[in-house]
Amino acid sequence: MASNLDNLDKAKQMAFENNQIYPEVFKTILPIVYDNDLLLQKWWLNFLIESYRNEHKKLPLELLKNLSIQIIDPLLHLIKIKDVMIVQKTINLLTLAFESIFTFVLENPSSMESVIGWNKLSQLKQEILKNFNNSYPLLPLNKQTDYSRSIGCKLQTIQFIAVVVKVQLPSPPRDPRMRRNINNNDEKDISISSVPTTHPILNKNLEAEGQGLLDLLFNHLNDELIVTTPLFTAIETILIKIFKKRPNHVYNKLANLILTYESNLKKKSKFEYDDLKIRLIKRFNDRFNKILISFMLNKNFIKDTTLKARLSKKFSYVMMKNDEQKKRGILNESSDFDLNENNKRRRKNDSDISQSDDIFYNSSTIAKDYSYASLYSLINPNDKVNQIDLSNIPPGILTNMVLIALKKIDRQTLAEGLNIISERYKEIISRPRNFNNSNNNNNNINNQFRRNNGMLNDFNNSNNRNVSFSEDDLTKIKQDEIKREEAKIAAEDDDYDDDGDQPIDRAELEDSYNPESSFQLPPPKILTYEEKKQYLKGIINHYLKLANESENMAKVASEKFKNDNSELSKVAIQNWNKDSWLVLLTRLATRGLLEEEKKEINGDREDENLSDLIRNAIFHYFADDIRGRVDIVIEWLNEEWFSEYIKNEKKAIDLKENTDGSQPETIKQENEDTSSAERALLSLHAKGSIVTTPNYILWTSKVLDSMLLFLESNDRKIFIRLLSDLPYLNKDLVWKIKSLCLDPIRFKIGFQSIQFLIMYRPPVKETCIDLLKELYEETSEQTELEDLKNEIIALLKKFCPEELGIKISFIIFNKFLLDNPALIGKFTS
Amino acid sequence: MSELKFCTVCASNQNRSMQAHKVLKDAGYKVESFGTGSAVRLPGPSIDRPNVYQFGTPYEKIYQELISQNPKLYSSNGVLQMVDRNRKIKTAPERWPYYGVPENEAYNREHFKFDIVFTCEERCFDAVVEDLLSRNYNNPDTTNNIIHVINIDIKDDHDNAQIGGAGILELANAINDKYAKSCKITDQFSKPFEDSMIDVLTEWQKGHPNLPSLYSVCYY
Repeated sequence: MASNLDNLDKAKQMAFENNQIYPEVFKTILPIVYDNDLLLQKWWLNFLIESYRNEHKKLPLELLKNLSIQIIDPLLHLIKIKDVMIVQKTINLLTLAFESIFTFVLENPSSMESVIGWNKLSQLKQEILKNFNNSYPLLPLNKQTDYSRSIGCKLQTIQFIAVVVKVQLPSPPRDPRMRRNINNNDEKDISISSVPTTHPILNKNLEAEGQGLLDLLFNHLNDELIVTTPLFTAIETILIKIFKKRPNHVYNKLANLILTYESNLKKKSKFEYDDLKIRLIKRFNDRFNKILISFMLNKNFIKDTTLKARLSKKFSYVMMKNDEQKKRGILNESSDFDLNENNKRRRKNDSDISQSDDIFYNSSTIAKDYSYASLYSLINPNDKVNQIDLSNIPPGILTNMVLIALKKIDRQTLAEGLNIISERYKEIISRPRNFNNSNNNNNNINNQFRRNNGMLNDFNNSNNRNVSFSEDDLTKIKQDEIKREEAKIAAEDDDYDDDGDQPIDRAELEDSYNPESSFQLPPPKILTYEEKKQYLKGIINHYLKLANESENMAKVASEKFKNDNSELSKVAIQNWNKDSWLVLLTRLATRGLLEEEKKEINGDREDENLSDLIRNAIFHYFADDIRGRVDIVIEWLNEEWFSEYIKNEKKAIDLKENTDGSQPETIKQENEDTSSAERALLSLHAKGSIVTTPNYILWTSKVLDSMLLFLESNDRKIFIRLLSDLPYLNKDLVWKIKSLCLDPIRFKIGFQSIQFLIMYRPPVKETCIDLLKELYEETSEQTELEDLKNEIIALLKKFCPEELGIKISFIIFNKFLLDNPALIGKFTS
Repeated sequence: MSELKFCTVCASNQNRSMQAHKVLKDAGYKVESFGTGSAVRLPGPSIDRPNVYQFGTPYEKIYQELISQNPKLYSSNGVLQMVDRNRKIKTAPERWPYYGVPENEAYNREHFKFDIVFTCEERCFDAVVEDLLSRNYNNPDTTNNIIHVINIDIKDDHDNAQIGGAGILELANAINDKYAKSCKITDQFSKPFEDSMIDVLTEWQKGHPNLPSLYSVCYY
């Protein structure tokens, strides 16, 4: 490389020493522009810049003019290289050569070279000008910050604009009397004025473009956002240059600008937090403006006396402002000086911070390097937030912080931020994969990014479409997941091996990576019985906790649900009240685990046990306070019976249909003669007889057993209420009351319950009477239970008088035989 | 890597600009110094009788003259030590090469190549910037180089010149550091040193509240 540069330097020296060989040297070295070697490209630019500066007039202007059309193509190539020095030098060279190119085209209107060259120049001009308000070639951050970035390139662009404005605006008319005094420089005033109206390439549109570019400079200074000092002072300086060459186009605007410029009215960037920096920029800009006023006045450029007076006043004002600021101290926040009350009012009305569409300081969609900070950071690297080490915060607190932040963040802001990160991610993935050895670390990280690429696709996919899975999809996902898990384990093994001495070739793993494949979330893991039990216990405890919450809390929750119009609340539960937990919990027990109970067929009853966990919990909850919680147990057992009945009814019908379809030939034949109406009746009959509710019976028995033990004489109402509201009673359940009836203290509750059942639950009337009869028989011989017997007899007399008569006759007869044993033989024979 | 070339400017090119010249030179920077006044003015036997010299009068000559006048007086007020220091740095005080002044024509063309100009007084800053504007107005086709002009307001006495000189060195180091970094990395992730100038000045100003600064960028 060094020898290459040495050779080039020698060639340059020869070219400068001998103008004859300059074009030859130029042509020979031209290919280095396209070599993609920054050093050589910079060398070429420096060589041409030196040539066009032509400080020692070594090169004839004619030579430079003829070569100028040939440098446009290389410059068009170089301007696209994202290197600060290359871009700066490219603009600088074009600025120096612009007049030569213009002259060449002017003098060669019919040349094809001129047509093509001028078109390409227009392209190049657009390339340069479009980047004036952004940060090119630097990566963009946000609009406002980018105004003040890539200043070196902008300083070159300002010079380029000045040249284009000068050439594309007409020269001022000359005073014929001054013709004799025209010096060499003035004679070289190249401009559109020299272009004949018939010129096929250069037309009057150029003048409009020149005026537009001049306005661009003024607009930049008049922008509501404060312009950073290097650009402000450079533009004002360049305006002096243009003022010299094109005074008519600049004078009024420039005078107006320096007269009205007021830094205190300018707004600062949304992302600029350093107030001192803003104060300094204002101070610097004001000072330069003051010097420019002084310059214009001293050089006697201002002829209008009124304007002169106004500028003098402005000069004094700026000086006073500066002195005041100096007196108060440069770091003093109150050093902003503003004499003008109107300005103060305007400042109050306006926000001091400029509004911008940008949400984040760093909106760049390209990450600086392969670090996670570069990928995720959206804030200014100088922001003090960056100094906080979050790794010192316990994970629990950190999680809460993140959750709170996610809750509070505006959805659009979050989406915007995620989009930027997603774009960065894509860009990293799309970077060339070949790294040299020195970039091993980056390579590894890049691989990691690549592996995670699926997650990005998933993020995008989820944004773009509604995902629904069929059975096949789920199976496929499951298989994919297994494969991925295997690959992950293999990769981890590789990572582990990396620490050892053996170098691991990752090529195979890399090759298996397919950027086109879309990542899908793994299906949920199948839980073991113990895990299910654990989670279910958690759910139960949560609901019971809700049950124990105060009524106030329930009310709040209810309000919350009322305000929530989501479909979920409509489906799950309309209004949350203090018993809502019970509805959910009982339904979970009876219906939520319904599908799972199919496993019972395989002899696995674990899911049924899960339901029993809930039942047990409700049962114990009731047992803790049988008097206060009878409503709960009634609701639960009703739900229990209803769901079980529905479920078993369906089973019975299915069973019936299956039996009808697969019964043996003989039975089938028997049934062939029966009509369809008869079959329906048979089916209904079958339903009525087959549908059983064993679970309900089991748990109602448990409830009654536990309740009967603790009932007291004054619990009559709640017990009868329970018996009244239970959806179904069979003999076994009714028979539970027997123990109560035999209790010498609480027997009244038992008999009153039986009486209630006989009167208000006809289906169990017979069962109750049977119970009374049995009780009567059992107690008839026990003389000490007279009260009890009287109760039985009273009830039997009332609800079964005929049966009672026979029974009493039978008892008297038996007593007669016992008293007269001699007669026994007579009756028995 | 190319180096930054500095220039220091005060009114007489004797005290503040020469102190800054010395510290920058000692630190290894390329530096030149000038005075923006019409002549070199040094304290005389009384306030109304200053010693006035033309720019270009060698420091050695001034030194000898002061010794011959009143060595005790000029030693006690520090002027003699100041001139003694200056004669070891360069030959003579130089006037800022104002555009259009005939005797400066040769200097303009050959030597007027600075990246950073440090002025030591607001008056000097105004004079330098106004001269640069003149160059742009009078010679618009050749003023293509970029120059950064920074003013550090330093009171014109021995102690403040010392403090100001140290402040200028600190600022020059910070700027040079940014410049060196920006020369090494020029890709799209880099930070060109022009972009850092305001930040560097702001940080520096925070540490030097008694040395108010000014700044501008011009073409020359």
